[in-house]
Amino acid sequence: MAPFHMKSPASRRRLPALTASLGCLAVAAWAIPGLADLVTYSRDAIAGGEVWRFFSGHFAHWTLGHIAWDLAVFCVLGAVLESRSRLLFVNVCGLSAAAISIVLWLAQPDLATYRGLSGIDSALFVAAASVLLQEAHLADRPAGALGPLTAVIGLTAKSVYELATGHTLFVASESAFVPVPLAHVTGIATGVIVVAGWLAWKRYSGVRAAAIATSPGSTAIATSLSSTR
Amino acid sequence: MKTRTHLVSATLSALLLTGASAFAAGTLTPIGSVQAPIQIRDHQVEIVINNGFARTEVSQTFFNPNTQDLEAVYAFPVPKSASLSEMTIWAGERELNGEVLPKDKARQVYEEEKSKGNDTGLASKEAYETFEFCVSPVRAQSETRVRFVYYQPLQIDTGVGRYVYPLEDGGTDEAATSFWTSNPRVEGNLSIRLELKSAAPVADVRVPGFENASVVDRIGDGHYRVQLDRTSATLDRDFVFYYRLQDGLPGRIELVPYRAATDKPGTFMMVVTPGADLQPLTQGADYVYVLDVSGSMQGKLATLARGVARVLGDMQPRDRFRVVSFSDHAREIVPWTSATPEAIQRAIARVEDLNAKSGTNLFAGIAEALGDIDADRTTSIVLVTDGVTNTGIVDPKAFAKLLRHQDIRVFGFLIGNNANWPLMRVVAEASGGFYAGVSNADDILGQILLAKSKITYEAMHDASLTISGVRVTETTGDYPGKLYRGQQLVVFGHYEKAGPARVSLRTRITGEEKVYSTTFDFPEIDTKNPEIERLWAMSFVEQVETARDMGDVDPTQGNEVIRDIGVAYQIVTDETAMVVLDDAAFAERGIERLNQQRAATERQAQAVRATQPARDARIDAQQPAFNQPAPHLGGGGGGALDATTVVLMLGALFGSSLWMRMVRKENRHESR
Repeated sequence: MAPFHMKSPASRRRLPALTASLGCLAVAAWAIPGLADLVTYSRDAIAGGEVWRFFSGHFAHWTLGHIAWDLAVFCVLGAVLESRSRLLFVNVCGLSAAAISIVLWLAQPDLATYRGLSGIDSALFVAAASVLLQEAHLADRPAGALGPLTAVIGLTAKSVYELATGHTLFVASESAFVPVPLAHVTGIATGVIVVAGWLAWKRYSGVRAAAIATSPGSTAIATSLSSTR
Repeated sequence: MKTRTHLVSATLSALLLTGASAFAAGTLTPIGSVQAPIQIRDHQVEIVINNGFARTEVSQTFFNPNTQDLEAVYAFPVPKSASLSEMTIWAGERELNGEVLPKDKARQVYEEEKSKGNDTGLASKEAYETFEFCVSPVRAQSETRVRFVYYQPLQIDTGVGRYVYPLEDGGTDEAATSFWTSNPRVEGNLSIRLELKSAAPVADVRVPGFENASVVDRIGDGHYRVQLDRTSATLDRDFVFYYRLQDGLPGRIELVPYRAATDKPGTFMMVVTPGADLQPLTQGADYVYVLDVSGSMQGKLATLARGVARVLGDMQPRDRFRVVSFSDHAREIVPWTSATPEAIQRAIARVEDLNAKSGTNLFAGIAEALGDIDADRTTSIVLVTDGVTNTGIVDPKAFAKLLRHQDIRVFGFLIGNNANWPLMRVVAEASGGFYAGVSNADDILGQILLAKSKITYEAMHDASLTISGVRVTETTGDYPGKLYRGQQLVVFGHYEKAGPARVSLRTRITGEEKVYSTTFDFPEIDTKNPEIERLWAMSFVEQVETARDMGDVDPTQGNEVIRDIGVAYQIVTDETAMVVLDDAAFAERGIERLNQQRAATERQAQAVRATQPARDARIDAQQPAFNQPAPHLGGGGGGALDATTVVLMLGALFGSSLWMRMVRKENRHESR
């Protein structure tokens, strides 16, 4: 049984509605005056009880350049992943948003405010790369794994370098905010954990379904399970 | 708990972006004159930032299109804490240099030489507003080349350094604008070359507003060059350069000394960058925004509203705020209100409805802000103004008296280059606050983040710096009272002899006494940075001016000290001016060539430094005074992807995806 739900032509063409909705949230936070300030990760505000900022802060951005690149990647990767598995997409986004915020809270107490989707983008990137890796594996074309594997290794190396040295690798440019490489590293790590957990769960489900299918009187149950995948 | 009042300024950013200046830097012609204005053929600026100070050299070529010889008058906004040190005129093949004399004497010499038709020049300071350069004659149908040099200390604020080459007039000198017309246009080439040499690694640099026009080269970790070239440009926009130091740098103490001979005292600049554990303030606070809506703010109010929105939006419901506006009188436009999102939106709408008109009664604005303070809450005043106070009470002593015994802090932001620095200095000193200038072309968001990082954190109270072991005299800036998060403490002074010394920063943080200290050596001889002497002189002059304005020093005595310092160290002040003559004229008049000697020494040292990397001036590396890193601009963190990373990421993924599609097609084809 393939770990990823693979993919009838109908399900592959699932519209990335959730990606679009979250993208609109980011655009709204940018465009509506005052909204960005209400959703930004703010240490003081969170300490005061506004815990939604743990999740919402990722959808606010500092400058036009900041939102342009972050959102573009989010939409593309989100569409790729959601069209294959909405549940995986939700898990990656939700868990990485929470993990990044928690790590920043604990490890960077001097970070008073934080905005940006790039941490979640890093997690989505790992998940999307995993999908392609899986497809290459299923097609028995290991060469197809080269691209995604190289990209994941490259992104990880870049993020670790930036975290270790405090320098950004490519020209960054904003005096309005400080880049936070820890967000990228955490996003990548969360992506890896979520995908690994997803694969393990799928494999377990597959084994269990096979076990049920081979037990007496299991036909009806097996049919029900396979129709939900 | 002791209650304090803090004033915070949010409107700063709003004000800056849409300034409407009367005129910019440029040649001045009396209104109604029949002569065609003197033209600026080219304008070249060379800036070197090294060892905590900046050297700016400006070269211009003037052209007189008229058929008779004329006098050229060039006005230039006074950069903050600038010590104007050299002026040179090239008249044909001859090079004429300047010497600083008492102001009246310099003007007299200039007028006499001018009346004889001799080549001469004069550089003077018109209070805090402009440097004025007079050159006579600029021959008919001919060019004359002029060069001037000034030095400024540059401080790092929360890990960010900022240099401003001011060109934009604040449009607040109404007397000048009624008399002169200005020609700010450069007929030929405008070029700005900046070199940054920082011993601390620099993470990033920025030139807001000139990102596309400037070329930035990163030579090394703390070494950058920036180049900007324009043709047929106008001198009406400030050139602002930001550089951000790498995060995680340690708190530190640095020393830049100068001592040329063992029989003379040495001069030093000591920079303390505290790394202390200052915690964010968690209790609710009160903020009063005091907004200048005088006539010169017209065109800036829209950005004022955006700035208010930006800062108000970061407040918490446990905070309260109030908004006061002032022009020729003050009025409350938003009474004390809890900072709920709804209240903030209403306040923003009220600010957006403001209209600019009338004069500037700053005293009334501050008095109104002080009139309704809750003594049981910590209150801050944020004052944003772009001009001189010209209505109501204008005497700085009155401001000092109003603020001195109030338990408040004023955070002042001055928009534009002609704002009243001396007065704001008095206001900040009297209240224990701070002030900052913001260029009309500045990075508003960055300035707001820097300000908030100070206001929303604990401060170091009753800070005092002492140096023992070696006798130091005539120190400046060593009793700041309060040191805010990210602020540096810069102290100039003289030291009598070489040897081991101990420096200690004593302060109180949340009521607890803290002492940060280290030992170091004052050098016997160090000739690497002779400019430190002029920087000390300017700092000392500013200290005397502040004391004079606050009424702590007799004005006559204060002015005498300023004049004596100006002449001894050859800097242009309110009491001194620089007259430019040829060597024979100086000799004939018996004027000693102090500046010639000093400038030669400085140029020699600059030539040596140009060939060397930035020197690490830290003196506590072996025995660190602080055990925490220096604060950096961590207030606004951003998860951001740059274009290169995006292209590589998506390119790799989609390349693979495409390849897999081809493989699947191939497989399907084979299976048929």
